[in-house]
Amino acid sequence: MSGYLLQMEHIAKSYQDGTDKNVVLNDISLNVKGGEFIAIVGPSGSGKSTFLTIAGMLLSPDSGSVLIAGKNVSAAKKREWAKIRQNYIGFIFQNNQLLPYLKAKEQLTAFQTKDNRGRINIDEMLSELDVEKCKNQYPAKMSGGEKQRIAIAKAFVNDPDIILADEPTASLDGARGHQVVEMIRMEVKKHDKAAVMVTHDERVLHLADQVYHLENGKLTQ
Amino acid sequence: MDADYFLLSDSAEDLISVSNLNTDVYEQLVAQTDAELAVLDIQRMYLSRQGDAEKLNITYFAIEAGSFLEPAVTEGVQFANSTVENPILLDDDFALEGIEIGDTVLDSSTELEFTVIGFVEDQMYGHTSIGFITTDTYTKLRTLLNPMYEKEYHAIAVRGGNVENINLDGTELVAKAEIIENVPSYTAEHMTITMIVWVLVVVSATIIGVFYYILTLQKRKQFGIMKAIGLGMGRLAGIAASQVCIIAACGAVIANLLTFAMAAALPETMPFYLKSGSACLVTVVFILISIVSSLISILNISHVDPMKVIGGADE
Repeated sequence: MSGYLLQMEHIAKSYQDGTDKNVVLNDISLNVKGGEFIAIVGPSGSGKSTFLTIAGMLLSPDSGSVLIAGKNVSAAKKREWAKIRQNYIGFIFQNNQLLPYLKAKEQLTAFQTKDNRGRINIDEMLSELDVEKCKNQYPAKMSGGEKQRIAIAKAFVNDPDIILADEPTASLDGARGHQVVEMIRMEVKKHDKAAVMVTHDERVLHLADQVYHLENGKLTQ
Repeated sequence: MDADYFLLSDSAEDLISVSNLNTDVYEQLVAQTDAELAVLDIQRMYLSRQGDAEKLNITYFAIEAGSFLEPAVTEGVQFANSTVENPILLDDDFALEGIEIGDTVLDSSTELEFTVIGFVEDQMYGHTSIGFITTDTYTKLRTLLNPMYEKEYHAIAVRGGNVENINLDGTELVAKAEIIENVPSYTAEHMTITMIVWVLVVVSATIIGVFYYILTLQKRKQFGIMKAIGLGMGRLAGIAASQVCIIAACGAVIANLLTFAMAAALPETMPFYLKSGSACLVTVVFILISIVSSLISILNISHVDPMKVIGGADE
């Protein structure tokens, strides 16, 4: 064990754009340890989303490999990807993406798998995130910050190895966005996860342990 | 009619009312089978109450008193317990017309008088209610119509026993189901009604499928999220199919309650009988078709790309 929970090695990805080949990611490597909170910034169209979908086992790279907890998951068959995502990856989406017809606590319990039940204490997590009072509310009744905090808790329910956050502060004002990212950081440290956040919100970058810039297919510190 | 077969003349084309058998056929038949036999004549006529010009449709079923074709009365007495001349047992639809036991009713064309001795339930033939009379009364009636009338039978009903050896020239043995199909207009009406029922079942089940498909289209993004966080297609398909199943089952329960309530509220003279067996069949087929129609939704869900949730999720 290298101690790295997320290892991305020599990842390359390009799209065919008409007759041109559009290289989005050019030989990118990134290693994240448990308890480490990484931020990736870059202009729009720089490939941040592509990077995140590859790390999140939603897209396969043209070359290179992804290792989660030391296991080479990019070698797995596509039909096993859903299972890998469910067990090893926690997603925090832009605009929370809660299901409108489930109460806050149900958002979490409904997606906790049988095997992972009990590994994460949902009630404890909700009180840590200060959304205990929303437990029995539908997303429509909650504020944007509360919804995003429920979304954070949702990413942790299956006790994954890595946490991937896609613009978690989008649609939140400065103070709320700051609070939300602080909470992601807190939970990542507490549960010892490897976390990668893609953002272009400069105000929250100081909360990350390391900040990378993604531009022209290259990742620089 | 508690019979298994009817013996008809072979030129009758399965219609009791146009068949005719000589009286000696009965004796020949007795020699050929150990089954119970009962003679039957059917005659469509009009009936009126004494002192009342209104004519009521009636089909006479002429039977031997005490034969197995005689239905049990719900009110009044059987032929065997009656001493009046020309007794008649009427379908209880006539009771709703105001006819009572002990009344005298007239055959419209011959003015032969019958005395009502009882009522029986649910006895109809080709849309008219039945009046049971005895073969003797029937002979009187026919003689009044035609003085040259010679006694004959329209049909002989056969119940139970061994029928393999029945073989009489000029006759044929017809199963009860076939007789019913050949009652005038029966098959045509039933085919139409059955067709309407099944078309409605298919249409309503398909509507559930279509509506669910529209719901699915609206929830594509949510399905994408669920896929992204690792829910397998099997689970999502299960969710969709079970939801459609619940909707269809609720619909079926409500529909059945309404139908049975309506059946109970219909006037008694309307010969509408709702069999729970056919209601079950329709319900099961309805739910099955609904589930099949949910497949287009499931197919749509399977095409949702979870990758779209990252980055371009702004809508």
